[in-house]
Amino acid sequence: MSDLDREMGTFLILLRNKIRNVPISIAALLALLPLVPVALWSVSGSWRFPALWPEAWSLRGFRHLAEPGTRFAEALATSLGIAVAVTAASIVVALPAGIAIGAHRFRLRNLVILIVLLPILVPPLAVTLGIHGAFIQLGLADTAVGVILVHLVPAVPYAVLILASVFASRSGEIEATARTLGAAPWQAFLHVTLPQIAPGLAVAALLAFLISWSQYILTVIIGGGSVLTLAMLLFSAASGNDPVVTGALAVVFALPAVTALLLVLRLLRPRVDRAPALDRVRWAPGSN
Amino acid sequence: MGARLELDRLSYRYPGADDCAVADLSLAVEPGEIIALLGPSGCGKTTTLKLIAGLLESEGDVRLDGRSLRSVPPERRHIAMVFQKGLLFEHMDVEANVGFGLRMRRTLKSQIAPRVHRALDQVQMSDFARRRPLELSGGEQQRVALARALVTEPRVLLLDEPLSALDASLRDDMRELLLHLQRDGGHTTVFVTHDQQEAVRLGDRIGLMFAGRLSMYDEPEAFFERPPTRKIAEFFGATNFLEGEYADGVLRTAIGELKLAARVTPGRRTVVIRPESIRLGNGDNAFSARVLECRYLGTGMQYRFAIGSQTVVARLPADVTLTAGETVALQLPPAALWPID
Amino acid sequence: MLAPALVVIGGLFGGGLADALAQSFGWFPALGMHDLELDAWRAVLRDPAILHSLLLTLYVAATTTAISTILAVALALALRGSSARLPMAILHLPITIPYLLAAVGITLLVSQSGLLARVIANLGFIDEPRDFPPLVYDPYAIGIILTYVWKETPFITLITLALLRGAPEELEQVARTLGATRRQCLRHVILPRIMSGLLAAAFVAFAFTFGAFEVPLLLGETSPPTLPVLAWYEYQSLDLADRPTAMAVALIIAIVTGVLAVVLLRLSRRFFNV
Repeated sequence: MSDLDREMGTFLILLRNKIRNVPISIAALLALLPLVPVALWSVSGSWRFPALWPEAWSLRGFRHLAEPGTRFAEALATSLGIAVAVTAASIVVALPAGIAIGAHRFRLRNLVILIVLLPILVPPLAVTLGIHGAFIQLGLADTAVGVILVHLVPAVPYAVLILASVFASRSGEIEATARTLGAAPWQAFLHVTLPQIAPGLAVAALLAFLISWSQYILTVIIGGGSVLTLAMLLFSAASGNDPVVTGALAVVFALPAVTALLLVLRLLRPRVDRAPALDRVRWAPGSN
Repeated sequence: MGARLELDRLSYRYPGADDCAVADLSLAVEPGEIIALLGPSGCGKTTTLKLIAGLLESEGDVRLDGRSLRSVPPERRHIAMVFQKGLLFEHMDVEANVGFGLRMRRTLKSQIAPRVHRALDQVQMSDFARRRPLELSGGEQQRVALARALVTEPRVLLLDEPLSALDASLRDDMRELLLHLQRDGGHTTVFVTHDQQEAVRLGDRIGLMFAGRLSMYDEPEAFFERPPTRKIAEFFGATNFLEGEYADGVLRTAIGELKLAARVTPGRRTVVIRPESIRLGNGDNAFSARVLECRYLGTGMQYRFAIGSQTVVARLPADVTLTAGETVALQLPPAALWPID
Repeated sequence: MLAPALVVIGGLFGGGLADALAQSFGWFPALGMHDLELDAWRAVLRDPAILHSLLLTLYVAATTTAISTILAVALALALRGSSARLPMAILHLPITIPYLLAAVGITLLVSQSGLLARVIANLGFIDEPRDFPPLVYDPYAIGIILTYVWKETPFITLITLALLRGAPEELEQVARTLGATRRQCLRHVILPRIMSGLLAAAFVAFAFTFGAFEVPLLLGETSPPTLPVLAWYEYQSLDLADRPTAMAVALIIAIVTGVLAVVLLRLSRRFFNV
């Protein structure tokens, strides 16, 4: 075989490796596409049809949010406060369950997994309407505490799934080693387990935060308008017709999602998704 | 009957890697021959198999009976590969697994069943036809994988570490079965192993690979009796190397003069002697040696001796009993001393 | 160790469901309603408007799921072995972006004065926004479906990628050396292996889009509304007599997805489990 053939072969292989990245690049562009007009509108001063690009730039949208009458600051604080509380509560509740499901085999384990998955499998509207009835009687309706509680319904299952997958991939041998080296069970957990599961724990926490942050209807039903979150502000802006203010609100609303994504990518190098969680726990439809 | 397989200057570099996984590898396998690719892990053995099968795109050429396979996709090469872990299709039962290749090549339905049963019979798995892969032991899975490859009547059979995933007790059975089927079917076979014993017992010839390159390709005896380099000698278990100045038919070493049977050019030379070639007693190249250490090996005894400042390892029959500190006469027969580069 | 999670999920989810059920039968002591009756269910099951809403909701969820799943499998197969880190990271973005925000983005993109219409106008195909076909607030719910497809496709793609990772590449290589073409590999080796996980992911997407509320409320026509929107309208009604109806409609959503989950579970056990 000639040297020319050899060079051609090498070239074709290189070319193929380049082409391999084309589909992902297209997919990534499509994934970004709807966010482009949002970002552009948020800083546009004037952008009439059919201009492709804002004709004038301005920070009117963001300045508008800063005005006291918009209740933006209040909504931002409420959203953050509720999301942080939901995150903390989700982890406290989900960590032991994640350990139990991930690291142990017990009778009725599949049933327990199914129960944990129910809020993911069955849309929460009926449940929330029912909860509202109960919360009215308990005095939790129209309160932030009530909203936090109802946000736990979608947040806890995902947190449990992720933590269960984290523990499912651990054999416990490292903890056993720590014990033989003189660590008490709590010491083994604190010094060995915790540092190792920290990335998974962070992913679960971020997801719980995002789930709470994104909620609209659950907040509206239980909060009854007394608890004002950013999602509700964005919803009413989107129903109106000032795309500049909507854009500005949307950008603020997107910040945690973008930040979380950057954090997660940092935490979990190769695999970062709900996928391993659903995949590794061998949950209901795939379990046996 | 299998085909004649030729590899012509095969090279492959994994995307993003600096070094070639396989570099400039050429060898030929005669029809019906079984050869071993032997080498430490990471030396490019498995990659070579994948290049032969067409699973990776290589530089260089693979030829079957003289015909180039360049740009022939794996499914049309009729080269079946059996991987280390068996890799059965878990969603199919044993019978469906074995019939897979025939179904993919659209063999007549009426022919599939009898051929599958014959193949299962050959690997003594007929009773397991309806089992699922997960219900089988490692050895059983391996046999099904072998049947699955053989049933397609491949022109070349590739085996990637066929025995290494098995328990020691199963390994002997599987090795005999493999040899038997290979001789019976006359399949041209290339297998990969990191175990030199396995290579010696199964291979008509052995290709020894280091870092992607073929260092030596020869019959098994040659690796023991005529190793060309110190590295190859060491890989095949030689431990005693003696260095000296060669002149007038003798090698002058630190322990004294050594007579050599082999013809050597004068100058600075190293010779190797295998532990099992060293004998007790007098004659040519006999030295007074002190026993440093003895170890029971099951099939014999291994001793470490000191001859002056040089340490040599020797394997002696189990009925020889020496104790540490004892001094004996040790002979290094001239015919067993092989000069290396 | 399971107690806290089970209390939260069992108490809130189970309790809420039971309460919703009770209210659908007209039992709500706090408002002085103590009689158990089937009126609401009878009315709901006979109402053609509700049937319309149910069909619309099924259409949106099924279309979304089908498109997303097909796109996701194709994408996952194309992305296997891709090493591009940045695009991969961007692909995760729709998963973390809230639905509400996705709906806003899609509106600004495909509405009659959206970015897409502007591009078409600049190419000279249309002159005014109203020349552009309505893709939001439209009878075919295209805006809603687009929003969901944008959100669900990356989700299913990542699950599919994880599933593919679980099927070693060598399994396909074995199949190739046994005579299977690329296409046969996909059909006989890869798809059967990932099918049960893929079905599960598709179902999660279906259940979500079937019961979600924000997107259709923001982007949908007001009539007929999707089931969740309809339930919300009924619930907001000042007439307390509409409450049982709202509950019954909301429960239909839960029942449809619940039944589908059971059916899928059975199916995937029967056909795909090994």
